[in-house]
Order: sequence, then structure tokens, then C-alpha cells
Amino acid sequence: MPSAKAGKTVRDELFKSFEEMVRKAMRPDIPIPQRQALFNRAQELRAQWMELEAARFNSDADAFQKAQDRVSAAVTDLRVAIEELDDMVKVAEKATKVFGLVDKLLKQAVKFVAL
Amino acid sequence: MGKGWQSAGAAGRRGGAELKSAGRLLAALAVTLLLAACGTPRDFTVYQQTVGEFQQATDQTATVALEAVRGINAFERDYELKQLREDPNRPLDISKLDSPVLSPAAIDARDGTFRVLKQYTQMLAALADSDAGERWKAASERAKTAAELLASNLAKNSVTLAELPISEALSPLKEISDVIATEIINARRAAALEAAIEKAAPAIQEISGQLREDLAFVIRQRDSVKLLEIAELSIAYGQAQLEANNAARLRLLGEIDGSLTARTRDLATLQGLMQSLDRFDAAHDALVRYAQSDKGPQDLSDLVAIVRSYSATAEQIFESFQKVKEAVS
Repeated sequence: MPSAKAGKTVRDELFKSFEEMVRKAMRPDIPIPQRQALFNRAQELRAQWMELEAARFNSDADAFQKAQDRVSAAVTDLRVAIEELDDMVKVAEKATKVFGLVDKLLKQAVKFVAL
Repeated sequence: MGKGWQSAGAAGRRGGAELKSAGRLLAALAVTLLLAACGTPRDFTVYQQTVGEFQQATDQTATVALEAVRGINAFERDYELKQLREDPNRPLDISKLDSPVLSPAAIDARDGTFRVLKQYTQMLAALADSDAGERWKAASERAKTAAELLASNLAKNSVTLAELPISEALSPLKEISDVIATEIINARRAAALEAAIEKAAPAIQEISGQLREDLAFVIRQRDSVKLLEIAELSIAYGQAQLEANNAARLRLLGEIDGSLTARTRDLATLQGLMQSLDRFDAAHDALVRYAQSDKGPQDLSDLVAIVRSYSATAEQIFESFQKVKEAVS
């Protein structure tokens, strides 16, 4: 089982070796049997690289979870802000009743003055 | 009665003057709030649209990226089957066919991450696009209509009320209160958006870094197989030359040409996805920068340009992936 801790540099180097090998396997100046051997070696290197990458991928779940939790906290804040805005509108709706109140007060004031 | 009448007229004039004075005060308050919101209503509309574009582009990028990551297992299994078909001596390792290289838990982690990322941008857009301001205006319009009706009824019962500047007072008061409410709502909304963007920024950066590694993995996984395919064909071509088998040589040449074209096309699409992730980073950084800026016209213009560029790339990549999908199915 490959180490999940194989660093990025190790994985990159392995992939570079694969690329070098597969490119050599394409070279027409190299005899066919050697090209076939280079091709086989490139396949092996790819398989090793694939195992290291898969191990890295499979071990990253925790890091993803932690980052997700932090983004979720921001999502909760946004949800709360939307609710607060709705509450503000409710307050604003109540505030509009001031117009009616002003009219009522004026009506009472005029009645009082008219007496 | 006549004296009362005069007093009522004076009271009405005094009331009108007081209301006008209150109106001036409220207008000054509205201007202050406008300045506090650091931008014009038009700026806020542009900001709303930009957040909406950011959300849509992220939806497209996340959809394509998740599909690419989910495809890693199927691609590897298909490649193993291809090798088994082509090499009669290859040992059959059943575990390579029935055990996926990537664990379901690791795939779920990416699923969850993309879901949260989408949720985050959807909530940003929902808050930016909240219709609270419009609902306020509608409520205020209803109240104004009711108040005018009441004033008209009162005027029918008392001629004195006809002299009171009720309709004059109601209209500017309503406009001022609408301006104040809209600005308060926009200022609160902008502050909440900025706080959330700043709070999420470090985690978003981390997620983006990890996704970048995943996408680099996908690109290399697919490209390495294409390179091996081309190498194999080129060896077979050399063999055909040695054997002077012209028919095989020409057939292989056609296959090599097709493989090279396919590699260039696939590589461009996959690298485009990586580019889309780069633009996502740049767009989110721009949102953070805007949140921390003085929100001048140049700040907004920079933000809009960066998000538009991200949106265009995401759209292009989304379309090219859709085409590839349609071609396969």
C-alpha cells in the first residue's frame, strides 16, 4: 500500500519519469525492442504514480471536511442575514402604519379645535 | 367658531411647517445613509448582478469539475479492460476491476465540498438579490393609499382638513421613508455579504487548492493514457516499416493522426477546467478585495471585469464538456 503521505514533489517526479519514458518509447532512432521495453517501463511508472495519487486523494477527505465546515458557517451567516432582512421589512411594514396614525391624530386635533 | 376656524388654520399651517421641517431632517438622514452605503443604487444593482454571475459561473465550474473527478474510477477500470484485451499475457487482477481506485468516502468528500461551494454562492446571490427593498416599497405604497383614503374621508367631514397639507406631507414623507428603508436594507445586505465573503475566504482558498490537485490528477490520468496509446501506435508503425507492410503502416498513420488530434482536444478541455478554477480564485479574491475597498467606481469596475472573465470561461468550459458528453452518449 503506497504511503498516503507521499509528497507532491515525489508524485510530480514520478510522473515526469513516466513522461520521459513514454516520449523515449516514441523515438524512431531507438531500436524497436528497446522502445517496447521503455513502453513497458512507462506503463509501470504510470501504475505507481496512479497508486500514489489515489492514496493522496483518498486521504484528503478530512481536510475537505474541515474546509467545508468553515464555508458552512459562512452559509449560516448568510441565511441569518436574509432572515434579518425579512424581519426589517416586517418592521418597515409596521412603520408604514405611522401614516394612518398621523391622520388619526390630525382628525382628533381638528375635532378638538372645532369644539 | 370663527376663532376656532382661524386657530385650526394656523395649527394646520404650523403642522405643515413642522412636517416640512421633519421632511428636511429625514432627507438629510437619507443622504447620510446613502453615503454610509458607499455607493449609488445603480452601483448596488451592478454588484447584485455581479454576485449573480459569480454564482452561475461557480455552478457550471462545480458541475463540470465534479463530473471529471467522479469519472476517475470508471476511466481507470476501462483502461484496465483495454490492456487486458490488447495483451493476452496480462495477468487478470480482479481487484483492479471490482475495487475502485478512489474510495467512496473520498468521492463523497468532493461531492460535499462542491455542494457547500454551490450553497455558499447561491446564498450570496440570494442575499444580494433579496427583494426586501421592493417588498418595503409595496408595503409603503399600500399604507400611502390607505392614508390618502382616510384623509379624503376626513376632508368630507370637515372643511378644516381640506386646508391641512396632508397630501403634501404624505408624498415626500413616503419617498423619504422609502429611500431610507431601501438604503438601510442595502447597507445591511452589503455588510452581511462582505462579512460572509471575508469569513469564507480562507476556507475557499484551501478548497480551491485541493480541487486544483484533484483536477491536475484528472488531467494527468487521462493524458498519460493518451500518451501511452500514441507511443504504442508509433512502435507498431516502426514495426510495420521494418516489415515493409505498407497497408498496416498507412492504417497506423491514420490512427496516430486521430489520436494526436483527440489528445490536443481533450487536453485543451481539461486545461480549460483548470483555467476556470484559476478564474474562480481570481473572482472570489476580487469579491474579497471589493468588500475591503472604499467601493469607488473603479473598485466596482475591477470586480465586474474579473467576474465577467470568469463567467465567460466557465460558460465555455461547460459548453465544451456538454459537447463531449453528447458525443460520447
